[in-house]
Amino acid sequence: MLSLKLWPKAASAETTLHAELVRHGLPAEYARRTADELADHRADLLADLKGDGDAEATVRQRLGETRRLARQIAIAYRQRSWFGRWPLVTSLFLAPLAFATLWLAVSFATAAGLMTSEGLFGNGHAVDGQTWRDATIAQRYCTAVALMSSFLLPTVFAWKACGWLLRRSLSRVAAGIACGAIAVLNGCFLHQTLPCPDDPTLACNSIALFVGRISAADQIPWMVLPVAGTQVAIVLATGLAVLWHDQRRRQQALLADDGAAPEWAIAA
Amino acid sequence: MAYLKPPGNLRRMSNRRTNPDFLNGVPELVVLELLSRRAMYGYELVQAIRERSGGELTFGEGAVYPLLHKLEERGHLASRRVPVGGRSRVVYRVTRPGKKRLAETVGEWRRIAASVQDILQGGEHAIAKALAEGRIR
Repeated sequence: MLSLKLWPKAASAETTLHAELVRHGLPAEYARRTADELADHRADLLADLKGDGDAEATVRQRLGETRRLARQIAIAYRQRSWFGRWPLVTSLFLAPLAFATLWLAVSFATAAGLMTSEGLFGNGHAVDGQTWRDATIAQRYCTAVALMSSFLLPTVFAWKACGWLLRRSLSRVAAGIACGAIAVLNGCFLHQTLPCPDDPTLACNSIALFVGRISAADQIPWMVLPVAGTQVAIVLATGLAVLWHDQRRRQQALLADDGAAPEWAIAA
Repeated sequence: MAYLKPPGNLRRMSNRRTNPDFLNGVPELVVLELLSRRAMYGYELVQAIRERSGGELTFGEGAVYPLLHKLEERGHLASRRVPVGGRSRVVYRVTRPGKKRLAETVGEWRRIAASVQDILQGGEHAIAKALAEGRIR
């Protein structure tokens, strides 16, 4: 029976190395291989110690308790990559920085793409060095750019970045923090359509920071808040989906382990 | 390598004897060196480390297997499964990039070990050598 709980129950007193490695978040295949190799190692050690009094106790002393051994292996696994060694730096700084860069790149690329097909939407009017478009067309531009950079990109980025960080750091806390930071940032970046002060039928698009000055916010705060809220919520929902997916993966690996040939089980 | 012995207080702090933090990088060097001589499986390798170091180096199984997997992922080692008595063993061998990496690590280790040795001997020999080579004035 698969539980929807994000955090697993406390491990039972009797456990296997594979189960402990999976609980630490190691990929199922890696956990299986390491557990198999250590089971083989243990069998060789026992065979070597045959006739040496309490061989089991010696083996336990050499290999250590199952949970301790699993923790040691998980730490060594995390140490393999820089991101695994510094999960908080990655979550709090690198992931938001990468997201902000991509957000700007996607926004400008989408806007540039739309401008190249300007004939489809109609030409802009230059007034005082500023290009104004028909208000309906400007709104369409804004919606298209916002859909790409504030909804599609954050969903894909949060899914990939959180999953990637989980695989490297094995830390759901780090993945959750990264997701939260991306969500806050996504909520702060807003696309807006500003009406032309001289001609209300014309408008132009701009990028604004929710935390800073929003040109039209004093006029449309009721529109800005739900949009920003949705931008935050979409990333948080994606992050929760990643964590749930990871929990399911761990549970499925543990369920698969129940049917596998038993390796050693030590009271941990 | 007597100076690699962990101090007594470090031994007392842990109920399982493993080597101290300043041996970072040494497990990789030792594993690559031993596997470059002949292919081995995990247990054989751990035993070889103990025997060849006279029991001074004990990295612990929890460190050796992840290290083998890391080196394999980086392409420094290659593995194959060998069936033995109804079980399947993973035997590791050093690849060409692994041999290159080993040569670099050995060179680095020799330089560091020689420098530490010079310092432990009082440093006069190192100063004289550096003066002769013009590295210091």
